[in-house]
Amino acid sequence: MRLLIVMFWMFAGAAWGLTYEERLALDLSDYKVTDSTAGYFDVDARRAYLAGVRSEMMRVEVSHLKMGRSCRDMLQLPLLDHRAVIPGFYEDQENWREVARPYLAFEEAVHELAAAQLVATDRYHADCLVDLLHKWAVAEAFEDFHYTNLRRQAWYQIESPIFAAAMALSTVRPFVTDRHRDLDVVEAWLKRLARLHASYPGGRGTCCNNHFYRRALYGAMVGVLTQDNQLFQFGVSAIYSALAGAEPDGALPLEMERGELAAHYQNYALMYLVWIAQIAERQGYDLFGLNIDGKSLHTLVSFNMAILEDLRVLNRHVSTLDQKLTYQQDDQYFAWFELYLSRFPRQDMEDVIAIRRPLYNRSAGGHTTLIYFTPD
Amino acid sequence: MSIKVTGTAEAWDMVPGVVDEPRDGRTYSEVVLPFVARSDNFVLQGTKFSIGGFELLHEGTDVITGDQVVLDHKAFALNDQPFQLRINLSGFVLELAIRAGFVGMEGEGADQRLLFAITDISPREEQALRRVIRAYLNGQIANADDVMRAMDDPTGTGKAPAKPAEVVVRSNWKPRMIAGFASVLCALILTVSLISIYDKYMIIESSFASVTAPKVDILSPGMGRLELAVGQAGDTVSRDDPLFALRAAKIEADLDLSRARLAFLEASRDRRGLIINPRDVSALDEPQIKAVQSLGPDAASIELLEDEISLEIGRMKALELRLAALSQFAPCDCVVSWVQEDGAWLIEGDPLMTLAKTGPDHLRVEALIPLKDAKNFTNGQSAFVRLAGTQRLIPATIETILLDGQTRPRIGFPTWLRKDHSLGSVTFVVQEPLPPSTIGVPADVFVTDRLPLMEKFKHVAGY
Repeated sequence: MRLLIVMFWMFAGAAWGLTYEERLALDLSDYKVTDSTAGYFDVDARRAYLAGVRSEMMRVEVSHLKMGRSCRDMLQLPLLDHRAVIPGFYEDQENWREVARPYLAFEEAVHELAAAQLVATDRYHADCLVDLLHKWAVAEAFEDFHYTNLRRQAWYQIESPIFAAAMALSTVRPFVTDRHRDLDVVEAWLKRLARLHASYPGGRGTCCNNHFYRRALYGAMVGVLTQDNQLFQFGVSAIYSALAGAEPDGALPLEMERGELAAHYQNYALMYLVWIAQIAERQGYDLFGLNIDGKSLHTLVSFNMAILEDLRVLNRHVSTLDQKLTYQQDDQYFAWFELYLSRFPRQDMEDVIAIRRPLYNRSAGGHTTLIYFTPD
Repeated sequence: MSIKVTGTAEAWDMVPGVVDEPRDGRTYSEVVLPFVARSDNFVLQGTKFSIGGFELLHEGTDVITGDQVVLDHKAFALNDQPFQLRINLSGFVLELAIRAGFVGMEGEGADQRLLFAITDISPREEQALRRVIRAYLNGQIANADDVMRAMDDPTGTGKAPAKPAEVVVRSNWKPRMIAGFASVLCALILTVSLISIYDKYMIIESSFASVTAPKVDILSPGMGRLELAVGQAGDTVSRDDPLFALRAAKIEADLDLSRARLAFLEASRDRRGLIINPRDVSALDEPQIKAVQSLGPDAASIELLEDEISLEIGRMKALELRLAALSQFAPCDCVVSWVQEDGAWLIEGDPLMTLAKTGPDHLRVEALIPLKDAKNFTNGQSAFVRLAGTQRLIPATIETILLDGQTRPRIGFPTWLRKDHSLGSVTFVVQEPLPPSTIGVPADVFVTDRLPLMEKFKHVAGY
């Protein structure tokens, strides 16, 4: 049944990927959460590896993280329990930067605690993360946000705190299973939040572009954590949508539409798609191997690498090669390479991040070099 | 006496306890760093100091009246008197309580300076002063780490700083020992035996090792006046103890402004809401009704006001975040190894505090080795360490090898040595707990060689 539906919109010539309605019609019922503790990497195996790692760079990273942070620093973050209205990122960047800071600080805090726990010998940071999330859950943080057709920045902004919190929690949960009452509160909040947030369809672009992939990422992670198959399938649907809509060379049409930001957004979209595939992989589903009409995630990744090599590959898709490339100065945009490389070695990818390590992304994946890089 | 004195020989004789020291390069060297000297009566700006004395400007402040005063030899008794020297160094102020005697004046007019010879200084403070001078001669301003550590830097004398001695590789076996074996088989057996024994006796000795502890340098998270919650260097803090708060009047004022703006917006919304709901008007008195009527019944503007209110709350949260970041708590059960002065005015990024983890699990012996010898070391390699002042060899193993010692956030090693790019860093886990008092204590390290088999064969065979 699932394949039939996929074939339906393939032949219908979906130019951008699945429409919102097509996505809803997609039957992904075969995708079910099989292990709610699987997270996005094997925590025990990674702790064992890090305990004996010999790489100089990795040991320094571990040493820095072992110093930890005081939980009181984290608990004094201002609670974002108000009705969120945030200036547009492109319309009023200065005010956006200021008002968005507490959201970014929350994302940084949860991943910092998760990484500190990964290398710790006690459970202090895991308990701290649960304390923090419990406090925010009780306050129903992020649940009230402004959304109109003209102003959606608050809606966009809340995407990443949800998946950052869910990914971080998946890392520390094995250490705090005895706190099931607090965990129940936190997980109920994440589930409520994810379902509420995902219930807004978005506009012509945001229904189906990188913003959709960001929503799908929290869908996949919260779905696993809370054993919510529908949320999990919502996450998986992003991979189907992206592959269905991709050009034969791997370009994502909705990201190409961004003109001078096409290079930026091709990479940005993959920053979330690969994590969805990884989370699904941990549940036993090979979305990296999923191939629709000759296109797989590898095709999309290869096009991204081709852009980094030579912008002229964009010629077919955009009217200008005068691309904004400031994203290439920010290592966070390449943190997902660690995940991909840990499974599919590529020299061109390795060359890009070799001098950027250790890599970290504030919201998607956290300290990815710590989690995936195996130099020994 | 270690500063230049143009006074007479009689002046020397008049100061009890002052003797003429040999003018070797170390004690004579003068240091020009900002410092002030405070006596019982005056505060004077210093111009230079050495291990044996100091020079002050003759214009100062009377500590009783606060008046500016010009001093000459009459202001100081012939007997020595107590001084407090406050020397501004890298990120902290070194305070020394000493006694010194007036020995003469130099210069003329406004440039006149008063010369003093130090007559009494505790060994600990003399050591600290000596380290400041050593660092200065090495072209650096001493930091707290330099002053507190237990091992001295080599003194610079205008020449290149002394390099650490080469790591020495010694062998008790000579290549010719295998030359007498006739058959290839016997040679092979013997070589294997030799390699086995070679493992036991081949040692690498490092003279540049000490006990170190992991540290965290806390930088100022913003601009403001420092209010410390910890005492001084050497104090212990427990995880989650308050460390400091920065008073930032600008952020506090912005926050007050934001709260006021929010109150105004909420009041405006409430007033307009009353107009929309006429039944609520009955609750108002006449002036209030006039005031809200002037705003007009505009449902759209109320929605805009709601958005403005939400936005203002968002701005307030951002300011609260900034304010929260200005106070921090201890990340660990740590020792304060250095801390800024309470009340200091800091800008973002200024060094504020250094904490060290000093639990038995955290202390290591760290050795700096020439990079060319790094290939001789591997993780897990066994070793022995001997702490300075003891004769006992303690078993240890190599934990980490870093080619760039600067990346290692540890305290207890001379900072200037870490800056030498020709040296790598090797840390050793010692088989018995080291007390915190050993941080900075020098150690000898003996490492069993673990060269690859072929390399050993070459060593043993002599080629």
